[in-house]
Amino acid sequence: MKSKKTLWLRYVLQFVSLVSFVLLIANLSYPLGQENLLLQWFSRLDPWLLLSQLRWQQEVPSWIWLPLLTLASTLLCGRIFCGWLCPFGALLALTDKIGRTVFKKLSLPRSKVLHAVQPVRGYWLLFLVIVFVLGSNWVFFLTPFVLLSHETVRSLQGQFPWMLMGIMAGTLFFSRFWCSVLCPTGVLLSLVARPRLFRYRITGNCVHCEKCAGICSVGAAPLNTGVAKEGCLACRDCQRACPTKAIEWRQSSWRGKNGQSVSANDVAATKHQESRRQFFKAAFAVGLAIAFLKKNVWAAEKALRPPGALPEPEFTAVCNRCGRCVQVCPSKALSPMPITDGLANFETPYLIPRRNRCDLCLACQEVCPTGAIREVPLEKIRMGKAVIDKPRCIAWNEGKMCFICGEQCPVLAINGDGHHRPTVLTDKCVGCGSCENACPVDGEAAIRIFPD
Amino acid sequence: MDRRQFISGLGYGLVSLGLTGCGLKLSGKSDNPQNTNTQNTPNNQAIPAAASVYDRGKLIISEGTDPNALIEKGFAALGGIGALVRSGATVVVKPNFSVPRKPEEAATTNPQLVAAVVKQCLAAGAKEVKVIDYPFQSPPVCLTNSGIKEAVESVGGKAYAINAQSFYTQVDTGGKILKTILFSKDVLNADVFINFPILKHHNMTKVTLGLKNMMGLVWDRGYFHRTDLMQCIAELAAFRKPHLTIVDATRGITDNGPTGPGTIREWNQVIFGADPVAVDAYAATLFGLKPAEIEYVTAAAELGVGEMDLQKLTVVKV
Repeated sequence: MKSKKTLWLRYVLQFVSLVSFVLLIANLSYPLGQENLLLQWFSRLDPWLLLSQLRWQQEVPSWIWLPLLTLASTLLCGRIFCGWLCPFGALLALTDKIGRTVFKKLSLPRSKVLHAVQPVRGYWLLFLVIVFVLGSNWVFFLTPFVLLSHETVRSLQGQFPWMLMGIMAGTLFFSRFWCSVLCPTGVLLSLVARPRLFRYRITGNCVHCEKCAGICSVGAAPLNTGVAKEGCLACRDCQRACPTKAIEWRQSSWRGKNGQSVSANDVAATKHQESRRQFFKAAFAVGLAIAFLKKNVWAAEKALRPPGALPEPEFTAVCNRCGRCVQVCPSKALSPMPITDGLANFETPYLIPRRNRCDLCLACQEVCPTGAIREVPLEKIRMGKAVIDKPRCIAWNEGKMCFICGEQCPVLAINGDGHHRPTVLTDKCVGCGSCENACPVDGEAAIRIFPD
Repeated sequence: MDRRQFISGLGYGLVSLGLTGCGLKLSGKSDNPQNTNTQNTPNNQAIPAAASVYDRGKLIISEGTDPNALIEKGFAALGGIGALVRSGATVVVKPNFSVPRKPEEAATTNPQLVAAVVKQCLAAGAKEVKVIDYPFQSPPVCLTNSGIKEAVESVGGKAYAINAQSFYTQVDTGGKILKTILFSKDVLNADVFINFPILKHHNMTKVTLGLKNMMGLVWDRGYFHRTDLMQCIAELAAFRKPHLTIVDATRGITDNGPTGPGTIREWNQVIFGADPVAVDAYAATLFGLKPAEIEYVTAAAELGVGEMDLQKLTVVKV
């Protein structure tokens, strides 16, 4: 009875989490309302966001208790955040369920693969930490709130969410491989969950039917070890699957791991070998991380960034590519940069004023979860500067009474002389691109914004 | 395309005739040689824009500060809104919310005045009242900041921006410069069209008024700037006249226009008139300008769109 109730509680929590997260993202629009606050608070549960804040803002945020809450709950009960609350985890849990129903025969290879890849997790985390410390935020792109947000925005913009589809396809065959090995938040919390207080363990009569190992979606079942491994999502599937009711949710005894009767010599030998192997693997992870970073930080051509964006290259480093600014932008001026503009810039927001101007509504500042777009007041915004191409300007070159750039400039940065020929007051220009957008000259505008 | 235009034009003509009951009688006014359609193709421009039911020689100046009273007094003095808006009519109101400014910045038509007009139209039995503009900035920003969306929706009207090409259809304007343009479908299909500008400064045309406000119904405004802004505005006015022009001259910016922010001046007046040129001519005087100093007013008067000589008009203050 109780088991049924907790199962339903988990389902409801996961459903609400997933649906509300996607709806909140889809509802981000000008003027911003509650949806933005809810989203901000929700995504602050991720401890990686706290790390980012500490790394880049060098100050302790007021919401520090939220990620600490996640960490505390993990220390207590393991990865209940991943198993019960994470919206992306909910989506993958559902995908996994479908996969298990459709591809029943894959049950055995599924659990074998999950077991086999577990050790990669530690090196992956090391790699992510190094990339992060050296200064690149693409690590956060892989965290659940960001990834789901980014892919939702992509879908809403009419593009194919290939990343999401790829992960979901993988989940169909390999269960929650992503949550267990690749998700930065999941891997980090797995580490935190090591000394957790409560865990599933075999207390009764285990008949080695391997049902728990078969059903576990992250390969953490207590089959061989007697205790659920640190990746455990506390989902209770193993307990429900156990035919002899041998698995129980127990407080862990800190000492006295029963049944460890391997001789001291053997232990020392394997440990020595193990440590050498580990050293090579770790060195490989570090080398890869540095090589990647070198490619990553290579300076790309300057782009016009959202109002209040950090200067380059900090901007590309801090931005986690969640796409919320792209989603909220009322004029659809912000769009994610294509990969052709360099790996460092890939999927970061930028403006093409000739296509759409920035309305200076500053909603992007409010939705940015990382502080890559800071809350800068309108007076201090400097995205770029307008420059007039006089030979192409019909006021300067043909004597036309055009002045549409001056008419539409929202900050009065364009001055007209006696013949309504425009000049730019560079100290006033914010670089919103209204002039470039409105310029009636065919093709490229006769007034263009150059990024600061 | 021609056949469709012909049919829709015919339909529009019939509607306007039925509505005003005197469409043919007043068409003589636009028999100016400069305005004749030389292309000789059958289209809706062959039939002049539906003439107003109100006296063209009369201007109503409503004075005060209460938005509802200003509008009510004005319509009462005109002869009642019932004469213009019949039961079941579709009304289009074209205020100016083209810049992302708040009502207190006095660069957009006062939302309370617009709401008061919408209320009047609905009370007169209008089936639908649409409030439209083609703003410089994006629709959410301009509709929200101007307060127009909230005010109009609270009284039962619809407010939206016509910022996509799908809101426009190609028409032959039959001007010298302005030959064919993409023009607002909403206005072409409306039974009643009310132009509702704000009186404010404009850096190119000195002041923006009713005739200038009509540019917000055209898809390619760049064409106006590329060719001859003043002449284009006048030719657009000759193509389609609103049934009524109301100018929000309660408060407006007197410099840095049209975008602002600028110095705000208060006149506490709302001007009503059936003749778009006459309304603009009068409003210009509030700005301390002679009507002849506004180039597009002169150009429109030359095309026979309306009367710019204030001596020939009856000004009624209420």
